[in-house]
Amino acid sequence: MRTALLTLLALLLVAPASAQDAAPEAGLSPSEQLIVDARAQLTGAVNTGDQATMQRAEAAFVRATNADDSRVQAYAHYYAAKAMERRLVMFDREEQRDEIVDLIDAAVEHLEQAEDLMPDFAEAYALHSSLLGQKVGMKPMLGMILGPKVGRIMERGKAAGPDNPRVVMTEAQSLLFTPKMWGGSKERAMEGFRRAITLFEAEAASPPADPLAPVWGHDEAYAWLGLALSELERPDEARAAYEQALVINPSYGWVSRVLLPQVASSE
Amino acid sequence: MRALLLLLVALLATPLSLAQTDPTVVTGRVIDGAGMPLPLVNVALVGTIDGTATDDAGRFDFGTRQQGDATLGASLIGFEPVEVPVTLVPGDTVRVDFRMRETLVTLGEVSIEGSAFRAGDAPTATLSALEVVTTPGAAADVYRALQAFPGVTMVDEGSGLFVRGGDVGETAILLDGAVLQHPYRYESATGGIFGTIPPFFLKDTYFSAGGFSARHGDALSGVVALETLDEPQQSSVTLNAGLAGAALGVNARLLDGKLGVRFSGNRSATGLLMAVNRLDTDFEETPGAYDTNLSVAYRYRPSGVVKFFSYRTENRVGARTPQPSFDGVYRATEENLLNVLRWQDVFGDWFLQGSLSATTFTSASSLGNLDLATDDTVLGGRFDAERSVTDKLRVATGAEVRRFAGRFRGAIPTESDVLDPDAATTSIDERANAVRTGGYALAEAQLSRRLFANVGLRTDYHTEAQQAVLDPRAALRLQLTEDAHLHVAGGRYSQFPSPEQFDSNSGGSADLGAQQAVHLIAGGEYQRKHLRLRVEGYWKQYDNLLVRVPDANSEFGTRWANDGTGLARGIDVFAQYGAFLRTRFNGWLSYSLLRSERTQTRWQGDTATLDDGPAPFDVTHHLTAVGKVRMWRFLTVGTTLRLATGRPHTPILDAQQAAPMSTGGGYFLPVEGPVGSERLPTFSRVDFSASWYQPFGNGHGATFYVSLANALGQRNVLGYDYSADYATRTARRSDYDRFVYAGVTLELVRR
Repeated sequence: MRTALLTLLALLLVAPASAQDAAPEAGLSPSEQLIVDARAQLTGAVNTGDQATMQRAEAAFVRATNADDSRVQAYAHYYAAKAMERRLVMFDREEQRDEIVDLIDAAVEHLEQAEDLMPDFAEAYALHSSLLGQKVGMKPMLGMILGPKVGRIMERGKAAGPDNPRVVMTEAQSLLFTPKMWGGSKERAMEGFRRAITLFEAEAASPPADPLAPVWGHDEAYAWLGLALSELERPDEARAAYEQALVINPSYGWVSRVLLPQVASSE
Repeated sequence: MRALLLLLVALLATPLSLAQTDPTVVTGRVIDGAGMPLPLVNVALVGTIDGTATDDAGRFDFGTRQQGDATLGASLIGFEPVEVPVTLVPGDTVRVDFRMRETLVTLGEVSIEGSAFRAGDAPTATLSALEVVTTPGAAADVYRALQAFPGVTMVDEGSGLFVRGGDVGETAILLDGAVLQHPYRYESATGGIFGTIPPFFLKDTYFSAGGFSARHGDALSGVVALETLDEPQQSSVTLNAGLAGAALGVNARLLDGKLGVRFSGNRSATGLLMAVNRLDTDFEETPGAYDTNLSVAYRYRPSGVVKFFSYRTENRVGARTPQPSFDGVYRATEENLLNVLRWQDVFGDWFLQGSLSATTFTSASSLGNLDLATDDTVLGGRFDAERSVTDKLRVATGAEVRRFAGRFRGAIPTESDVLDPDAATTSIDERANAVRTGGYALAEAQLSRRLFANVGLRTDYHTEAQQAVLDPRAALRLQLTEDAHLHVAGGRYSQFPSPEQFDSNSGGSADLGAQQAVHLIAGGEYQRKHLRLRVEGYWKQYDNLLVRVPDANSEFGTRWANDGTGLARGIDVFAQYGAFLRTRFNGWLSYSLLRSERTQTRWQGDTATLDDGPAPFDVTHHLTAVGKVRMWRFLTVGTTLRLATGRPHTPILDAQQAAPMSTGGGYFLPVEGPVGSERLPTFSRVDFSASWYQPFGNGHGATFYVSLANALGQRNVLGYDYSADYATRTARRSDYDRFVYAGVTLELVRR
């Protein structure tokens, strides 16, 4: 008994300092906790468009990339890139081109790390592909260099997660923005968003076991579906989709303040 | 018992562990280069997850249980990251203040070379394609528009590009990567009257006045690289009618835009233009041309395009050309056929491009006793590969091969420049062949926040010279602020003689090698919004220049040899404001100060000697001002002013009578003074143009334009003509005394 007691004491004394910052959420390491907290911070800031808070969350994700565990590192890189992507809409696309491109480049660097650390990280490829696509949008001259890469990375994402709702949604976004001559299609985009919504419903029914795994996007899928429908000049269905997005996320600023008024004014 | 044990553990463990890892507080402030607080900077202990982001006052404050020596880092996108060593003692507070500097520019955004300009619609362009067309006095000619840039000297009213004290042949002109053997129309010793390629065919023009990278070879002074248009964005028909001819263009967008076909035909007939301007009496046959172009671009995937560009031009002229001893008529016909196949694509991280070209040229010209027919065929191939290794390093390599096969035959004057119909001629029928192969490798790197470098090595081999040259080149760019930089560039540049110069039967010499130049360039540039300022100084030392040296064994009395040297140095200043149609006013001012000397042949009767003196294109001061104003709605008016020191010429002081010829007639040989020892009077010229754009229907438009060249009627002296015995000389003045041109372009678009 005494031996057992001493062993226990010794174990407690030599345990790493970080283990002492006992997580409020059971079983999470401090770096995992950092990501979980920053993710909540980011979600709130995206709803309200609070750029400073987004940037704080981003800084926390970047710090979390120094976690001991490569799985946590990969997620930290992914979320850092995601936070950067969320900030992109805050810039003026005409006046702040350089800032936007710098931010995309920084996000892409994080995603490349995430992909190295976790080669089957489907969402990382999808976000990576989408960011490169946005970079081409900012600097069309780069289209020649980056164009094929956008598609190639998307293919990797699809291979890693053929039924990943975020991958399906990202691909549908790309279909929506690609000119028809290069295979874009609003109808197919709409179908893609619908399929993503089905996959999101399945995900909500049985959430992933890993507390760090991405779960965002259910509300967004409805917003994008609404956008595709509105492009297809089906305003009634678009409105219904937007309303559904607000059912999932009542404080979704983009839908309540931008998309819904748009569809209302077009009617 | 178990509960008791747990309680004991809890009691013991908590205070003990806390005592051992009392946190260290890390605090401080982050400011930017100007001393202002920087919020949202990520401050963290490197390699750990401990840290925080700064608040609005730039302050940070966090606790850590790390101990001992550590590194504290501060990072923010758009700024250079900073790291400082810290020592963490439990219970202590460590205070660190950071100053962060903005990232100025990245490798992908800068060009690291000297003296380059771009014209076209690329984002980096100095001049848009539209500006080339709307520059008064440029006559919608690419080279004439480039003449308005600093470093280019206008030696006469042609479109020849004399770059920084170099001869016109020292600037290589490429189309889609293929070197043009005949870039000028109505070819002359000073280039020609117009460029072969009209600006409407081009999407991008790169022009370097020196210090260019190892990508380009076989050029001593400058490079002009023209890139043809890709597939059209919409189908359209263009009609153009003016005083000098009419043109029809059809652009078709096929297969959802993947395939584009452009066709154009141009018939230029200057009879009406010359009659309006009362110049028709100068010509036996007014200049005329037939041009046809077909280009096909197929974009087989977003990154990959194959373009085929085929262009045929035919030019004819018969000009009255008074000569010292007779009234001559210069007749010339030229036929030029260019075919270039261009391919570009991206594979992985590599950007690849290649081109294959075949050009044939035939010409016939006669004046006095000169009667020459030439034809040549040039086959070329070029391949370039480029990749970014990291965001701080980019590498490029490439190879090219060019095969020339030419024939020239007819009669040429036995005594150089003696064109009297009765003077002796030598009949020739010669063939010249040459193959040049070249290759290069270069690296562009960001060495530090401010410093960028471009280092390259180029090699070329020429079969006739039987010589390989190795040219190292380098450039450095120091970024001072986001808007300003300094640059230096230098290197060795080689150029082989043209193939016929190797032909000893026609006054050439088989024993020739490459001519060489060393460039040293230093300059600075400031660019902000609509304003661009650039100042550059250069020093160019020539060696092994081709010059005609006395040769008693040659029937011509002289032959070509690499015995010349030269030196050109000067300062170029360029100030530009605005962009055509985007700002109400736009224009630029360019000034060049130049001194250029080189070895030349001096004829004194029938003896030739070598003499060093000012080069024929040594124009000391050259000022060009271009301004365009949008007056009202779509009415734009513009003007170009040029002022230049008269160029040097070699005076003829006396004459010697040559031995009577077999026909019985004698003629005179000039006795020249020191080369370049006199100058022509100052050159000045003012050009005006006005255009009105009238949109109509669904996207159609008509542009009406009128231009008045040499508005002040300045009769500039371009040279001197001598009487047959060289006793009296008369100034040869510009033909273009107030020259009017007008026309309309109609564009019909299919949506």
